[in-house]
This record gives sequence, structure tokens and C-alpha cells, in this order.
Amino acid sequence: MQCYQLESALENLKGTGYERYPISPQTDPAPKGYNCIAFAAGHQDRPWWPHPDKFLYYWPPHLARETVDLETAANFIRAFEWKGYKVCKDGNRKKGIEKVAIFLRNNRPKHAARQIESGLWTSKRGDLEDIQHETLKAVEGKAYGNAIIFLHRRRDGKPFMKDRLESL
Amino acid sequence: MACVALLLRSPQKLPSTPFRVLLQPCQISANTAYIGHLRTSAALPADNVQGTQWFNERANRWEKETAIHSAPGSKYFHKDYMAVITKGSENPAYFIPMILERIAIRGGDWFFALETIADENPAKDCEDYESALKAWKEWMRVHGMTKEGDAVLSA
Repeated sequence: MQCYQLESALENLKGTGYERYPISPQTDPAPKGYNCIAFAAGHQDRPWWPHPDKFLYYWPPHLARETVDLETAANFIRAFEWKGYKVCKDGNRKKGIEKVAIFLRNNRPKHAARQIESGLWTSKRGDLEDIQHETLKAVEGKAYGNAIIFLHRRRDGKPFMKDRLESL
Repeated sequence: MACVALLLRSPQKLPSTPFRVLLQPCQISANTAYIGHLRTSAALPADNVQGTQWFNERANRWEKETAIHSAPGSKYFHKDYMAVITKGSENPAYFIPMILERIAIRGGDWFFALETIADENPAKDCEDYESALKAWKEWMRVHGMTKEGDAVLSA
């Protein structure tokens, strides 16, 4: 796949072998109605962001809405924790585990990607199409910053063994 | 009319959002009629067609160049979006109906621009897009900005 608009905005993407996700002609034109955070959290019905305007963005109701461009990483971590994720140290593939990476630029969340079972990553890019990419590095750069925060959860939905033991 | 409008011009209100400090004055054509007070009737500037073209060019470019972003801040900080806010703040009665018309036709997150230009947010308690649009249309009507015969905005 080669998309000039994506490659011009994401300077590290060119030549990394990215593809549309899912690989299907139905993803053209780009699906609308959700964003990268919603997509990473497994939702494709509305965009997620702690934006002050509720009519524009969904955000878990128990979490704070924040001033535009002053959003905190902690708020995003709490949103993913609400979906059963826990902070982990890296984005390395682990069998049976689903991971999410949050990208920060100037310490502000800008993007999120979700790891699929193969170990590849998938992201929704703003209003553009969903793609899968081999590395997180491929989408790092001026637009999204770097993948700094990683979270994981079991794909079968069960809690981690450590958490099960702690709850005993 | 332009002379009357110039006489009516009130000191430009500065937006209250944190972005205001970043706004830079942009060039405004010499024959643009300024209407500073929002309750002044929405007389269009002499360069109506040029104004619409100016706005559409920037809005289209903004849409294209920020399509990659999910973060609202990354969209709002774009030079064209900021230019619309700056010019819109100089002439709210002209720009607010035009922005609202674009939202009604093409969607897009122009609500931050509207709020900054109007220095009010009539949609702040709205739960969905349609009611937000309705709240802005009502605000526009109350402030005498409804463009007569405009099917899109009166729908």
C-alpha cells in the first residue's frame, strides 16, 4: 500500500510495508465516526476524547473532561484501565495478550495504536483510513510524537493471575 | 452602509480561551465592512464573494491537512483554523453564519472556532451534534444573524 497523504504526514511510514486494516476494499472511503482512541479501545461508533463538548466526543462518564491541548496522559490511562487494561512496560508481543500504545507529543496524548494477535499494530489515523503497521516507530514523528505509554490485558477477558491472587 | 458600520465598530473583544494569546492579526481587505457589535444586523461585507472564497479555501485546506489528527488541539492549532478565528473575531456577523452553514453541509469541528469568535458557547450543555447545531442556529437568530432565504440554515 502507498498513500501519499499518510506518508507526507507521517515521515517514518514510507517503505515500512503498512497496509489497510482490515485488508478489504470496504474500508475505502475511510470509515468516519470514530477516532484512534476509540478504535484502540475497541469502539467504532463514536470518537473518544476528554474534550469539553460532550456532543463531539465520548469520554467515560466518571472521568474528567479536560481543556483542549492540556489533556493529561493519566486521564487516558484511566480510560483504558476502565476497559480492563493495565499499564505495562513495553509493546513487545506476548501470546494471548492485547496491548495498546499511547503516543505523546510534548507530554500530551496525540494518538493510540492497538496490537493485533499477529504482533502487528493497527491504528485509525484521524479522519483517514485504518492501517496496520509492523512497528510503532512507523507512525512516530512530528504528528503523533512517540509511543510512550503501554497497556495490556488478556485477550480472553480474564484478569491477570497476579490480580486474581491479590483479590483472594 | 460601510461607513455606518465602521462608526458602530466596538473595540474588539478578546477571546477568553487559552488560545487567544496565540491569535495573530491577519490581513483583512480594505473594503471589508467591520461590524463589531453582535446585535448589529448581519450586513455582509462588500467583498462577500471574496470572503466566502477566502473562508472556503482555508476550510478545505484545514480539513485536508489535519485529517491525520485525532487530537482536537492539533486540528485547532492549524494556521488556517486560527486565521478563520482571527478574521471571524473581527467580523462575527459575517463569519458565524458562514461557518455554521459549512457545519450544516459538511460537518467538521468548527464549534471551537464559533465559540472563540462569539465568546459564548450556546451548545455547551448539548449531548449530540444535532442539538448543538440547533443551539447555534437559535443563538444566531437571537443575535439577528440569520441569512434570509438560506435553506440550509433555516432547515
